[in-house]
Amino acid sequence: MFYIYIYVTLSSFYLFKKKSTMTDPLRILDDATLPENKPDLDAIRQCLEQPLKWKRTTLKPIAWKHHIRTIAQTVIPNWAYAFNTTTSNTLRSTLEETFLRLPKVSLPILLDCLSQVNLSALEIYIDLLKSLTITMTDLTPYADDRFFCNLLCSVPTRIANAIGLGGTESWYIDTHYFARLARHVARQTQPYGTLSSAYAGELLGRMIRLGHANVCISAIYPIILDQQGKGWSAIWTVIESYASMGKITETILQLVQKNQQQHPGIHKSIKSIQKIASQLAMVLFGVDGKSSIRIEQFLSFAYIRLANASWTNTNTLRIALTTAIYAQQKNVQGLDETSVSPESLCMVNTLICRLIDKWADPVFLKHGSYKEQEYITAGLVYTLGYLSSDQIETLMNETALRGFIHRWFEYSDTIKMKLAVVLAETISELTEEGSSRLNFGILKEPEDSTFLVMKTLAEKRDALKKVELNGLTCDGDDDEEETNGPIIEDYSSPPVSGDEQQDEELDPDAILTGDQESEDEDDEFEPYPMEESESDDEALHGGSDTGARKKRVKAPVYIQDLIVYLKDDEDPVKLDVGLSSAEQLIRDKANAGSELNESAIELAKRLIGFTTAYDLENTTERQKLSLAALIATVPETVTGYIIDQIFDRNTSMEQKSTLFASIILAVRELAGTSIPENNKRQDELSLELEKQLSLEESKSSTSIVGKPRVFSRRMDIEKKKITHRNRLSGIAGPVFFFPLLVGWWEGARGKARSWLGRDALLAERFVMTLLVIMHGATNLPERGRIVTEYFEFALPLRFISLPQPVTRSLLLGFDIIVNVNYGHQGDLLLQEYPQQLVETKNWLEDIMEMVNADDLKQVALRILARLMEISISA
Amino acid sequence: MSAPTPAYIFRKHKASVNAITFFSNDKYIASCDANGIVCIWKMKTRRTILEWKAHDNDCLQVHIYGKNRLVSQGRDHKVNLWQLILDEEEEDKVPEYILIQSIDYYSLSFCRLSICQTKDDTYLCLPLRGDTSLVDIYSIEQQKWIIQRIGLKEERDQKEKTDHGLCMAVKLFCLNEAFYVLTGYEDGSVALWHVSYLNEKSNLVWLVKEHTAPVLDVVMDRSTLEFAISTGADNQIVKYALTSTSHPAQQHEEDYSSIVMKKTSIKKSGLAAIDIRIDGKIFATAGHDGRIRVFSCKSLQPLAILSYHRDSVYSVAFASVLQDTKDHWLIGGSKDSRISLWSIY
Repeated sequence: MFYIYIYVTLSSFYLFKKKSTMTDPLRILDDATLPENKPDLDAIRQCLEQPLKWKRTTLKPIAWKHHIRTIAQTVIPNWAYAFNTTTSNTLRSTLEETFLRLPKVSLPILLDCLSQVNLSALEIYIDLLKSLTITMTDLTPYADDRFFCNLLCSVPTRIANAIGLGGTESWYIDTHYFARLARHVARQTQPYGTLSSAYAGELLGRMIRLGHANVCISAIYPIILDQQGKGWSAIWTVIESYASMGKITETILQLVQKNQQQHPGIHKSIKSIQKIASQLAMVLFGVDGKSSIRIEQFLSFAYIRLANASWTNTNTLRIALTTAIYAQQKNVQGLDETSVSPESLCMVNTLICRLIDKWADPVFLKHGSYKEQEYITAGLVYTLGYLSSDQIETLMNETALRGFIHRWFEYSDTIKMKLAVVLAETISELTEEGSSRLNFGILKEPEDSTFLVMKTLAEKRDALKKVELNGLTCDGDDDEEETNGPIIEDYSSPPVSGDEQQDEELDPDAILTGDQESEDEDDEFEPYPMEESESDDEALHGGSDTGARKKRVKAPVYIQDLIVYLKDDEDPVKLDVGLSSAEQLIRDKANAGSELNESAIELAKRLIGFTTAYDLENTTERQKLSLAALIATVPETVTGYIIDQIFDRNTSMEQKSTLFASIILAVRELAGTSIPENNKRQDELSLELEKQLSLEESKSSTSIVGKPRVFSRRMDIEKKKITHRNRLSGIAGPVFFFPLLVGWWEGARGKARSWLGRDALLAERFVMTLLVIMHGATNLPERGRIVTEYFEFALPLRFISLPQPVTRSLLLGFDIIVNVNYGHQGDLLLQEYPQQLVETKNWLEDIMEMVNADDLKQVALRILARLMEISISA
Repeated sequence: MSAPTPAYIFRKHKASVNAITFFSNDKYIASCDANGIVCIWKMKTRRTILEWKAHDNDCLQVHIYGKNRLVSQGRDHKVNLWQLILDEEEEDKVPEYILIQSIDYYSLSFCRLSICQTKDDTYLCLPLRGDTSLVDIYSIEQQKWIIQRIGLKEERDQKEKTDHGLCMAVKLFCLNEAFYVLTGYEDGSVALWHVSYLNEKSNLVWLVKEHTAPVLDVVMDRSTLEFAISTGADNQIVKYALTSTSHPAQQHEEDYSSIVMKKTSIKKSGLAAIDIRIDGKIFATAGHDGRIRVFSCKSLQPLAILSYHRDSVYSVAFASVLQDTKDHWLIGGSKDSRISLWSIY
């Protein structure tokens, strides 16, 4: 035991002795270079060369540090000229070798020395730094030390501080430096190198945080692609803990998009988007590991935070979502229309909810820039395309997006309105079948082409389209180079110019021959003098003689002709003639064969959809009269269609009110209550109705106080008349009244997607139409049913807060019932409708207690008085 | 140089002149009209030497082939072949005509037949089935329809249901012992078909739709077979390249811009017929406006407008003799039943 102890002590002593002997010569060599010892070049050379021959293990780190410091601080400044002369190449290389031996020691010392003012020494320092940082392809010596991350990142700044700004080509310009450094890091990550993902991530993260995201990402993108993204999921996570995910998302998307735009040919094709997205998914999310949260963050950045960026467009949206879907379901090859994984769907759903939240935000609506609003809307449209109609339906119910759309419409801003139109039409297209689809008809080519294009986004579904996709892996196919190539932006060496190649591809001869051919077309034949004849084709297009042509357009003789005239949207003269002659023609054809019956619906369609593109006189008036004539002539055939159009949401409000007006006119004509021209001014009902019918005056008309005498006097006049058959008989209910109510109820119950009741003006007009029919049906057997239906229709409405004009017209309906329909049959009324009358009375009493409703009170009072009268007489 | 005037007006027909042609070294002219009358005119005397009712109905086309053999196509569902005996050698010989053959076909369209002579046979090309876009080839020597239903697409194409409408004009020519059929359709498209005599199958070489109205006539340059020109009921004249015919395979899938060499339009719509002079330098069109227009083949520049006819011109034909010492004749037959003779270039 004792021997062993002695042996150990001895051997350690021996070792110590040996080490100290190795350290001392180093110190001696160093000391020899000190200025006070007056060294010569040989001493310097020896100081540099000797230690390199010793084994690395025999050197003490502290001693070596001292050695390096001596060289850096003493030898280089004093002997800079010696290192810089051309003959001392060996000396220079030895110096370099010395510094490279332990980079961890050399780098901090060199950086410290940069504060030296000696310019020639500075040059040597910078050169040494170059070889210590970017020329060194292996960064392993610095690995796993966070201190060196900072040092490595500070190199360009420190050099810049020391020498001021260098030339743009210098290696230490930060764009060049960081690009190369990033490339080194990327190449050396595991499993391809030795750098741990934490270290690589930290270094890259710091670089990105310093504001070099663009440089770094464009440098590492092709490398990651080469490595097929292995291990990068972890690295990105580390990077994101240093730099923000938003910055990375923005940079990488911008980069990818810029690259895509450089190839205009492939610019928007699905294939190119799929390719880019699959690459991006691989680069950003790797092929291994779960990264759902990161994908969601990525999407939310791409869709919401980037909305205001100037470079983003619909392509960004497409690339981002496709990338996310590819990243979510790693197997891209198998994707088709049906195979969106539940996770992806869930992700899309979350995104849509976020987008809807953003879209519905009143602040966004009011203060958001157009760019932002367009971007978010486009994002919504595009993502909605991925959902099935059921899913969208559920989403609608959950988020009340419909209500938000209305909010957008309420702004009197055309762009906002059009964006809402785009979204509404898209949702309708995605959820509904062909004919019932919403079509506002507002978006027109070419001025709204942006919005129309935006609408088509819903059909893109880039991630799901089957396109032969080669870009998933990097092993060579022909397309690879064109897609990967331009992304590599090599900052250290001039890139292989793609432009040159393109120039070569252009074949100048091809064009030139064509030009030459067209130039040397001097014929051997000299043309004979030719008389100039007027071109008949030109005459057709010439506008000078339209006046002369106007006379030539004859009034149509057959209904089919009329339809052709009305169809001709290009020829205002024909349209004018057609519209003018329509009413008379329809009346002429009233009892002449089946011609009118057969084409009635087509004709009604043409009359309703009559173009307003030309400023023809009295268009609405003539349209109204023609439609009224049509309804009055063939009520059974055409009224159903007309009523359908009223409740179709693709009919404009103006068209709807025209339709109501024509129904009213037709009903009055059929009921025989329309007054001949010469008597017109006496008829106050007509006047009242006319006022109600004109869209422009509708506001003022509502302020006119109701006139009960209107109806009683009408009765007086009617009494004086000869009895006519009421042509409304048999059709007042089934053809006019009930279908109108059915439409109303469907809307009210939410079966139809638009409800008349939402619009005060139309609702009032609707009620007035009912009243006219009810009025006309006074002497008909259907009276009872119609009145019952009216009660059913009107009474529930008392519980809704209605605009005053609508309430007033509803009350006028009761007025008609008590004063006209049952004008002389008060007892019968009381017998048939006791319950309804009580409810009516309650309502009227409620109204009497209302403030600011003098109009209503007047009408209500009159009805109440009449009710009292009836009840007393009963 | 003043505007050209007609050198002579041939008056004999009593109905619109549907077709005219020079023959026998321009010594004679053959013409046919809407009454079914065929006339043979002698250029020297400018008088008719033969005149007979070749068809019960409208006669659409006359052609001369072989040794004074005449083909007449009538709308009485017959194509008749006649042997003419003319007074070429002996002045006092009485001219005669003998019907040698009558071929039945369904005359439902207005497509005029086309004729192609080879060393040992003469072929006629016309729509046998009338109301169709398909055309058929008849061999006069073999006395049978040798190739039928040219224009029938392969099955996969048929599914596309691209119906071009009736065949409006057809030209048959022979190159490297293969037939090529140039057809113009009602929808304004012009197609070139390559027909192999062996397997009797037609392959589409190209199909181009440049006209917006039915094609009314197509013609190819007979000397070089390098290009073809079409006219239609619209006001366009389109020049097509025929040179690609040597590589017929799958060319229809290529870009058509290489097929259409040039286009031009005139002020009036409707060009009923077209003829290219034998040297391939100029061509003339027969206009519905009664004017014959002369254009340069190379540039499609208008060279002359020949105004005489008061009604639509239905047919134009160039003479084949182009000697410097002689007039270079051009004739036009019109709906006003006259034939005008012009000396041009």
